[in-house]
Amino acid sequence: MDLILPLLACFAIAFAIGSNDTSNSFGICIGCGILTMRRAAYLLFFLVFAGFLIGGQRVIQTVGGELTELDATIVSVSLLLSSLAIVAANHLKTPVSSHQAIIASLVGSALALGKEVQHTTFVKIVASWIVSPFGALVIAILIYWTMERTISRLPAFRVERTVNFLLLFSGSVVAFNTGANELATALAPAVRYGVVDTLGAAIIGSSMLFAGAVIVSHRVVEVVGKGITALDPYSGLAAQLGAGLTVLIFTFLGMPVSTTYCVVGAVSGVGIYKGLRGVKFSFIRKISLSWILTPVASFFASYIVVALLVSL
Amino acid sequence: MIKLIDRIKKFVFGGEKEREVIEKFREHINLIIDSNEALRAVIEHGDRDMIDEICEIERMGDTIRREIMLSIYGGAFIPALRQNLCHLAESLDEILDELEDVANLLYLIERVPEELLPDLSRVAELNSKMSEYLLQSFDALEKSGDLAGILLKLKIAEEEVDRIKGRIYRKLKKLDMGAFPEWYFFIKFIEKMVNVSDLIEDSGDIIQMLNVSLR
Repeated sequence: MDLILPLLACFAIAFAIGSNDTSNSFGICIGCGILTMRRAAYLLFFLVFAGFLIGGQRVIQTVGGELTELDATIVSVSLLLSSLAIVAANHLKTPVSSHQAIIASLVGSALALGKEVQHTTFVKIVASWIVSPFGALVIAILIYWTMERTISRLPAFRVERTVNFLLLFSGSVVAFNTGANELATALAPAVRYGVVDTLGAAIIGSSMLFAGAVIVSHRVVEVVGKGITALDPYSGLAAQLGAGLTVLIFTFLGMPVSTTYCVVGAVSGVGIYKGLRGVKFSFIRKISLSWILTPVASFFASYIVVALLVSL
Repeated sequence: MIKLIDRIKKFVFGGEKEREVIEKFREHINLIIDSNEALRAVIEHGDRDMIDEICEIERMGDTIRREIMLSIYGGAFIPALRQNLCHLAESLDEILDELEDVANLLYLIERVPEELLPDLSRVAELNSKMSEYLLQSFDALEKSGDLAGILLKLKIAEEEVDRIKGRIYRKLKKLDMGAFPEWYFFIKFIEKMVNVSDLIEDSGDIIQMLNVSLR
């Protein structure tokens, strides 16, 4: 009984991530006709699974082992509340960071139970949230600049083939990151607490994420891409590759960062490079607001829920 | 194992549909070259049997255009290129339609005045050259080539056709073509002969748009 609720919470959060974050990976490929929805879903499953097993260990250690001491209440409340927040944001078509929701919920739950939170780890994580979108912005600009001087000089049909391949590659990097960073962040508490082992978490997480992606397809990347600046396949490639590489770097550093906000940073970078007129700063302000409100709301929601549970 | 590797390669790299479409476009442009050569034979050597061949080439072109459209709407190429590719297929088809009209008008005209034969031969020769340049410009989309240079040659050839058109009309003022229908069909024949070069130039412009549309 002690483990059932945390296990259900794992299902819920993985499903929620599937509905919110997976279009970050193959949304552009599907939109361009490079992949069908079905092929994208299968590719996503395998890459997320591989990402979680191969690349997820450091993030699991940071979130599940170094942030705070875990128990069933903290794990259950934080994962369930985070999944509700993600689904709600999904419904409102607002890009939201599942990482922020999960980390803030963990911290809120832990403080409500009087547990110690490792400030150094928490500060490192918050610093990663701030640095990563700007890192993605810079890397996306560098990639676009490089593409202009290399791929752009090829004959048109070769550009099209190269862009196709690179879109698939960058989508695969993002899908791998979804397992190594997003899913690892989400399931870290459950794995470290012993609700499920690493392989079990990989299987459950990938399967539920797959279900979330297929059943609740959500076009965050199209919303983000069209909302900030007009994205053609060339620009989309630079943005996606920039975001993917940035998240990969932070994953290897063991830092849970948001692919969604890295995509926002990368898309903004490409828009700024092409000309500030094309960037809709009102949309960036809206996303920035979500960037602040998500962790604050998640923190207080989990703190209040756990405090109420403790008082019962 | 080889089959599995092939399937993975196709899955990852794809490209078969795109290669087929590119080959179809080449075939289409080669038909334009053949049609122009056939028209030249009719004008220069009076080989009226070639008129039927030009009509047959036009029908073949229609089939190829439909196949190209079906492939493109079936998923070949990324969406950013599709509209221009369809536009190119239609533009190439217009050239073949125009050549067929020229051939049918030649059929109706009793005789081509001797005074105009050299100019009309030159227009037919320029149309032939322009269709070769069109093929070269399309090849430059796939292999490295001086697309700007080829399109410039197209433009220069088209300008020469325009100058010849002016010369033909000036000469026509001094000629007596006989009955009105003969006049009418002959004027139409000249208009359409000259229009072929405009249509080839338009196709060249679409190829230029394709070249820049992805960058």
